[in-house]
Amino acid sequence: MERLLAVENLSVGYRTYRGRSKVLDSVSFEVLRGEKVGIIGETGCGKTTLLRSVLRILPPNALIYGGKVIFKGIDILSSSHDNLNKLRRESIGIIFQDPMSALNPFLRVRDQLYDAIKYSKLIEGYKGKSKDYLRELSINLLKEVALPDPQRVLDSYPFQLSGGMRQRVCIALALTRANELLLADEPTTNLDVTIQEQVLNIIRNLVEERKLSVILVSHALGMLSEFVDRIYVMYAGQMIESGRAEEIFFDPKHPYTRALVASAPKLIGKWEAEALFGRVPDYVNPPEGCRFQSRCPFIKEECRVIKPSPQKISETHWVACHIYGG
Amino acid sequence: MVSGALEVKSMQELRVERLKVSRIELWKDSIRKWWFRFSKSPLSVVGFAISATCVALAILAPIVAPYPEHAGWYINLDEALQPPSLKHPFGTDHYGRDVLSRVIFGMRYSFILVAVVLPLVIPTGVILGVLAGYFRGSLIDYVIMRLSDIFVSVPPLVMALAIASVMKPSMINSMIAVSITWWPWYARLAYSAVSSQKNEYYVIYAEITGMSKLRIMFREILPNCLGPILTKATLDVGWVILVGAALSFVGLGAQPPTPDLGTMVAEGSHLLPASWWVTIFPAMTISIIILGFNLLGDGIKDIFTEERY
Repeated sequence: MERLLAVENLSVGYRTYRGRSKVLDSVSFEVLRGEKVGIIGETGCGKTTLLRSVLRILPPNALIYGGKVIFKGIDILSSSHDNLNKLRRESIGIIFQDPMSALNPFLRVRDQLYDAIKYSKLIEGYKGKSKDYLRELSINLLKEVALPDPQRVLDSYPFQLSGGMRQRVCIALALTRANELLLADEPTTNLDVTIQEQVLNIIRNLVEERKLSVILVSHALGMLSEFVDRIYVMYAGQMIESGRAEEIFFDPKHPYTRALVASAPKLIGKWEAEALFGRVPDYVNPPEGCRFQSRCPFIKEECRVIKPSPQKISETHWVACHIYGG
Repeated sequence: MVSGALEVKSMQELRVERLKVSRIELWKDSIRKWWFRFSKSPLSVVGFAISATCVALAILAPIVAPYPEHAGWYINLDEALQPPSLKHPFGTDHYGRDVLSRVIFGMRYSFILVAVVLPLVIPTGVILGVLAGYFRGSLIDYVIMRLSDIFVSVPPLVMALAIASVMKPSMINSMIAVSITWWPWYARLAYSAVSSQKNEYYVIYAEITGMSKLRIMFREILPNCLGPILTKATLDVGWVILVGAALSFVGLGAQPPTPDLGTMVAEGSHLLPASWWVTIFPAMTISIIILGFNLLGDGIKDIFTEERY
């Protein structure tokens, strides 16, 4: 399969009051055409930073230390403004974490959708047609995301909609431009559990129907492993393990991944989930060697000195940990 | 869940559905909602009543005032310095002019000042503030905000006095003086509001949509900053009147035959305390207008600070 997106040795940090932080530490991953990729990691491990650097929408205090984000042969991080705009308009769509602030509270849903359509590739079909066509297009989009009563939704303001409805509007907005790649930054975290399932189903159906590639970022392994083909496990800005979803879920190798799997409550056996103590290390002065060392139960001498390199477990599965050599 | 073939309604049907809720109905609904939030505090309603009365009196001055001709040059020394009576409820001044009529016309001049100053000042300040806030950290930001800092570092009244005293005293010059003093406050307000909105996801979304920067600033961000700006505008009606009156009081505003409230207080001040009515009634009018618009501003703040979600 063709490689759609490749992130190579990406290092990103932020200018903070304590100095320059190093959040992403030479992160590499790739997405094939039509593939569903999941990125998992706990809060504050750089998932959102990673997704934002893919679209180059990092906050102004971000620093890119090095690396490449290559989308269909174009390096997004060094491409011109026009090229970037073209990619954002025609290829890559993003769903943000918080549907509450992703919609402009002062504009009606229809105005926001019309704008999104007007600035997207869909407009090519609109040229020379009346405004009713725009409305028809919007209604179709809203129907695709399974919103009941799209007429009413179009004419309402965001605050009149529930969280789930708003997230669906956000998905519709992302669809206006996601013709190849859809980035979903924890699209279900701010929704209640029953709505989470619905929203995920909608995303899944759309992706399969339109043959999109997806990067789904989440901290819920169970949800992710059900949804995606391949999972990357991220810890403190480093990719520590990757494999097909079932490999990660049933045969985790890295101590952190194991802790992640163990921390999910299960319906059989012991009811209590196991918590992993400690927290993500400081990014301004990250530890030498493996960034997981402070929480790792299997720590060895070299963990404190040498950054582990990826070790192959199988054709599709690798892990970066000194337990497995390297 | 999602069907492959989507049914598309005909344009006729769409139009019919859209017309079901007419625009007027929607407006009525919003006004009802605003009034509900506004009227939660009875003081806002009082403020609304006061300011509406003042504005109505000012507009209808020639009809309402008992002696409209007393607003200009008019001398009737027979009736000079009459205390308040049924014939002259606010008494008469040293030229025998009816103080009530002059106060009503005085409000007119005060509101003319506001009506000129605020529409000049608000767009200027807000546009500059939005630019500075959106390009935060750039040269544009530094130039605009440091300039406004210079203006803000001098108290507005002192600044207006300084500017007005350089120019020939007249109504128009006092308007110019007040305007020059006033814009930085709106620039700062808009600046802080825009800076706080700038990193919201919807702005990032607008940016990746490919909209022009002007469109993002004025269509996406600015409407979300209107709450504090409108609130300040209402409060400022009172303050602009006060500064205008202060300028007239020291003789830098409208000149004597004009029934300006500040000028009237100044003219009457050497008749105190014997003929107190010549001073007290214009002064009270100024206070009441300011009080009314402050209360109204509080109510308008309530409309905007109501939780949107």
